[in-house]
Amino acid sequence: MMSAVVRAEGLTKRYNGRVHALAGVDLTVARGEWLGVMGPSGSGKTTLLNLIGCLDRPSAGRLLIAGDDVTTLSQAELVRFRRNHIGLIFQQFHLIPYLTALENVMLAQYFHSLADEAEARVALERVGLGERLHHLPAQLSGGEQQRVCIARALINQPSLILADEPTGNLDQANEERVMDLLRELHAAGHALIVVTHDPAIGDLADRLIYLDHGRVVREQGLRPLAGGALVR
Amino acid sequence: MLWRMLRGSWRHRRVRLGVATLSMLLGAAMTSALINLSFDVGSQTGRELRAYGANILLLPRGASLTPGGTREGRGIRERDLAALDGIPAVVGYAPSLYLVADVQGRPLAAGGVVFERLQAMSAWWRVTGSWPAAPDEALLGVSAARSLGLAPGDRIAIGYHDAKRELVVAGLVETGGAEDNQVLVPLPVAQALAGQPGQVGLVQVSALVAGQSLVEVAGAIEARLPDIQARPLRQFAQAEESVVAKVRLLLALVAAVVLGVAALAVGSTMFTAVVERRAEIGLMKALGAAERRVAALFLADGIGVGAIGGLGGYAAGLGVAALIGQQVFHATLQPNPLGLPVTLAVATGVALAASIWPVRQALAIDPAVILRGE
Ligand SMILES: Nc1ncnc2c1ncn2[C@@H]1O[C@H](COP(=O)(O)OP(=O)(O)OP(=O)(O)O)[C@@H](O)[C@H]1O
Ligand SMILES: [Mg+2]
Repeated sequence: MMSAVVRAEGLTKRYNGRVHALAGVDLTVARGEWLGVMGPSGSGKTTLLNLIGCLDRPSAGRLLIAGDDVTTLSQAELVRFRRNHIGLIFQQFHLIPYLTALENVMLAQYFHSLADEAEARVALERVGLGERLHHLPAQLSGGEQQRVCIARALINQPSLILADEPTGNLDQANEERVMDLLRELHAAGHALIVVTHDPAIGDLADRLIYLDHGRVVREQGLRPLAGGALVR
Repeated sequence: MLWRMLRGSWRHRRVRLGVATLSMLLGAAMTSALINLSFDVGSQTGRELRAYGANILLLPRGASLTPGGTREGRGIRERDLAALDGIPAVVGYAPSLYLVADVQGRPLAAGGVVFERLQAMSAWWRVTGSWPAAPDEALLGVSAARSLGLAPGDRIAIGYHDAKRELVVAGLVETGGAEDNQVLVPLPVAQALAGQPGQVGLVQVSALVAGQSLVEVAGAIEARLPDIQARPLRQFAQAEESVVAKVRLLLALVAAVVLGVAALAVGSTMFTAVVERRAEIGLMKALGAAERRVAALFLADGIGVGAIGGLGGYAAGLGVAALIGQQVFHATLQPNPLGLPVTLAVATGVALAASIWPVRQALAIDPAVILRGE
């Protein structure tokens, strides 16, 4: 499958040689596909995102992202790979407290290549924060902080955006706002992997997998892919 | 962008960084004081000690010094001494001719001296009355004056063999040394009494030793005056060299200790920063920050603390050095041109060195922490 953004075979992660956080996961995510990941606490969802996001290395198995086998990359190559291909959205937002909304977005550009203020401004306008560019995170609501985080995730045009409980810390209104943005990202052609406990968000995905004890225990195709190919 | 981040993070952590900068400033101040003082302290101390008298003694070749410091001798021609003016290190000299005279009927050491020259080298002598100015005036030691019952203004009769002179006591001198029990008279008077016109027995030389040793100066004198032996006075030679060495050593030790403390302060500030900014560093790595960018961020903190502390410390140290110069050596200070660059380099170097370990800790942080939450 040439259009796979993620292709995992027997993906396994052990901590301290004993705990099987992931135990042989086979997974394919197509280009532009939205994959939802659900499962009980401790089932390995975050571990899976860490591996796919090249933040951690698998203990065993193969992992290809955008066609490259990332298990063979050096540490420095992983860093470079991450900044070119992956956008991250966090439950706790993780904005740098002493930088303004604009600067937080520019930071991702700076680490990627060159900071471009105009481009960062457009990204923030796109998430509806055109008026809050020069506010510090502490001056923004949780929902606004999450939108800054989303703007930062998409600023370098990653082929794959990973979100771990993106609405976990938000109220209903902000949750809907973030869901709209995720939908827009999806429509713009980014592949998304969204970890969630919230069935309403899970239902937005093209396809949903359930993890338990580090294994995929159920998989559910919800709608056909944009290209027309039906998954399962 | 790096600048924006530094500006933000420095404002955010200004108290901590301020403390680290302050301790670096103290270290740099000591360094700056050390550099500025040690540059000049050699000549400073030399000039200072000169006020405490002669440090080289000239004797006729083959003569020896009697324990009382007095000597009846011949052999040095007064006019040969002009050659001393050609030696730059020699800042003053006082010729003298001693004899044991009959003063008011009692034997007493009488020294013929050139009063202007002697006075210039004897700043610590306490004279009541005045220094002799006229050719028939004498300076009488306080002990001798007491036993003879003489006071300034009195006349004093000095005889030697068949010759005899009458002088006026211009002042009484107290030195705590042999002079207290002597009478000092104009050199021509002593020469006339002894029947040795143009001759002197002993010359006290005051030499400024900066950069060369007293022995070298003595050698230079002997090279110009072949019939004379020049003896460095050991206690002076050692005093001068050891005062300079001790001041330098003390400053260097204090500077090293204070710099060490500053390094600890900077290191612990940086280390605390790494611990506190764990999530931030993890985030930067998760966003794809190359190691050198993360390192640059923390090293910039170190450079900033070192540079600002170094600049402030340079100025403060210059002030301290000027103060020490004033208080201890009574001299105005010439700033050492190397002071600023060396102080800056030392402060920045120490701050950077103190940052190395914290930076390594920062680089070791695993970006995966960021998704797990803390
Ligand atoms: N660094 C670690 N060291 C040891 N064990 C770990 C580590 N990280 C995760 N684990 C373990 O791996 C398993 C999977 O953890 P993971 O964080 O992936 O779960 P999760 O599905 O994201 O849970 P939650 O919904 O609570 O976030 C858990 O049993 C967890 O205790
Ligand atoms: Mg999790």
